[in-house]
Amino acid sequence: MKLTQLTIEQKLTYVGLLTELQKDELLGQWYAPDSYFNPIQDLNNNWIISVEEMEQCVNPDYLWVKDLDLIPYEPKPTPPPFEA
Amino acid sequence: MIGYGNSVFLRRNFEAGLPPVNTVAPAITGTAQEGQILTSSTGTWTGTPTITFAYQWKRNGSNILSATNSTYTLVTADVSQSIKCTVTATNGIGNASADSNSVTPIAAVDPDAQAFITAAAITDPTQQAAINTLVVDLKGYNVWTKMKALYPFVGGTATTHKFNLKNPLDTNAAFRLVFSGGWTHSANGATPNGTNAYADTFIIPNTNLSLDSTHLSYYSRTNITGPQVDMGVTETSAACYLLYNYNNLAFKAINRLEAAGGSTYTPTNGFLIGSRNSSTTEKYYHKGTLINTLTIISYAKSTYKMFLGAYSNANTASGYSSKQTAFASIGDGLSDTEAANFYTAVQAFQTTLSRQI
Repeated sequence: MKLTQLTIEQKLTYVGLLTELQKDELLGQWYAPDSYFNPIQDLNNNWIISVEEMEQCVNPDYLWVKDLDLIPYEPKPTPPPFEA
Repeated sequence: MIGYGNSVFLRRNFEAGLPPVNTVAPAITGTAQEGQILTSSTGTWTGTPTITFAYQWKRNGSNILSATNSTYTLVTADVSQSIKCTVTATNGIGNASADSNSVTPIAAVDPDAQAFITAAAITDPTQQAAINTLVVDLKGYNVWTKMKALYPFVGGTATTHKFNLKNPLDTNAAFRLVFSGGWTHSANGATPNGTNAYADTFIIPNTNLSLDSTHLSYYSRTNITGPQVDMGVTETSAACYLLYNYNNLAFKAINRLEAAGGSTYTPTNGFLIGSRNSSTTEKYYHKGTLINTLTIISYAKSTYKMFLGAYSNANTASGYSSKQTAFASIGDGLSDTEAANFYTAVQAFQTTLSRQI
């Protein structure tokens, strides 16, 4: 599934799938003014970015994020901060 | 006698002419704001030359003492009053007066508010006025000096939301925010996506905060009971600074080693303040009301940066939140009275912007 195929509801639950190389390329780069990519790993250790970063990206060097394949987001369990 | 009569006749013929008559009223130009200079034009007059002009500035119809030039510098007493200028034209035949339009000056913008408005390029008059009132109120309550960072989230974009009202420079050293991950910015505030969004404050407790005098505040417009962190930093061998909720419990920590349990409160939106004013006591306020007093000693300050929208686990974001925030602050500890006044000022600010909870 691609970004243009997402329904509004799906935008809340899908994320863009990155390769290891793409993740390295996005680290420290801006996607919109004063906004930076933050690739993270999901439950299956896939590198992902959010739909917001894909949709809002205006950096001409990284417009390819808009074409990333989308997968359902499976977050890692969030421990309470004191157990982290 | 004949000669005298001729002289009068000749002089009257020579002086015969028209007195001044105003055809276009004088007009005031300049910014009608305390401290600014207004200028009155003469307007347009007919009549026999040469016409000279005199000026008298008036407040609510009464003469302002010594305000008799074409320019006038507005003072505090002029704020919200009706100010105009009466121009009197005189020639050899006679004189006449005409009033300018009236203006109603507004109060001067606080220099700190103006610095933020300029840096963040805030152009909306309502937002400008809200920022100014917020700064004036915080100074009036004597809490302005206790703030290290104030994030008012006005303007509706990442570029306007990043600025620290207390030090509105676009540098890490000024503690402006850097947004990472998926944020949505709007007039109502900044909303992290709960997946990978956080904002770095660049505030490091060990460097920037006092051991026994610290506060955090967070104005959430979203009521969420899941495991999400509003703001904070943790470190294995140093103190926690956290505002967060987990499984319907509101956990907070201001410079202590570990959480000693949470306090239940619902909802989790509104203005939350956590404050430590001594080495032994932490207090928490929800919407200005004291909800918890905990006796917990302070601990070594964290050496990592504090985040918003998540917490910094040794500078790595975790506990991502999806709560829309409309205000946050970090600074010195607040007393009960100061916390209540702080809430009053921030709530008034949010109400002006129609985004209060």
